[in-house]
Amino acid sequence: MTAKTKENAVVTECELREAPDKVWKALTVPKLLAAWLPDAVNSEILAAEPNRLLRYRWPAKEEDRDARGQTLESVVTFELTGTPAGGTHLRVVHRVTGASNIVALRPRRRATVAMAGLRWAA
Amino acid sequence: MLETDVFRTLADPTRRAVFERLCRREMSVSELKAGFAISQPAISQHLAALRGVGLVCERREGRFAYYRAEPQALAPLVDWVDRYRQFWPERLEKLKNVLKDMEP
Repeated sequence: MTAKTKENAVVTECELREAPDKVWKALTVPKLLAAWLPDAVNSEILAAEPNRLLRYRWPAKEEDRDARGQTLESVVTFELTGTPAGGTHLRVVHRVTGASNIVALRPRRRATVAMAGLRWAA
Repeated sequence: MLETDVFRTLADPTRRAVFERLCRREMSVSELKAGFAISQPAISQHLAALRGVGLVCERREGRFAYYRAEPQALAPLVDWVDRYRQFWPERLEKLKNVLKDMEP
């Protein structure tokens, strides 16, 4: 499983054996969610379509900051698609929403940026 | 509204090429133009877009202007991307275990 970079987002996809309704439970029942993604428990839900789509505001971690110390705002979307085999194709899109904040500034440190590591949107 | 999205700014291949050339050294618009089959106003437009998001810096010397890249403007976003490219596959492995343990 690999995460790709697309525009301002990290996109991770995987195939699950379980059907979308079961995956939906693992995403929405707090006790189940806490077992694999405790960060998301209690975060603000922005969109929910049962068994299909769930979007919430990502609670930024301490290190999710730009050079001015402002929090990098981001949003996570889970897209569930049933497969012919009865499983689920899960797509996770984690997108920075406040990207304009991080480029209009001078970072304090001079970092060497590996351009090759990023895949620009076409 | 101004387009201030750094990824989208660099999505244009010519603009990205301008940025990459300026990563090597500082150049004037006419020096830059020499490497491209586009007009000087078009180059200036790309430079304005790159300056708008902090990826390129201008230095004035009399009536001449020189441009250089500021690749560190990308650093916070690159760090963020690196962090979550590692984070999500790990979490989805955990999700697989949670699903296995769930009752049918």
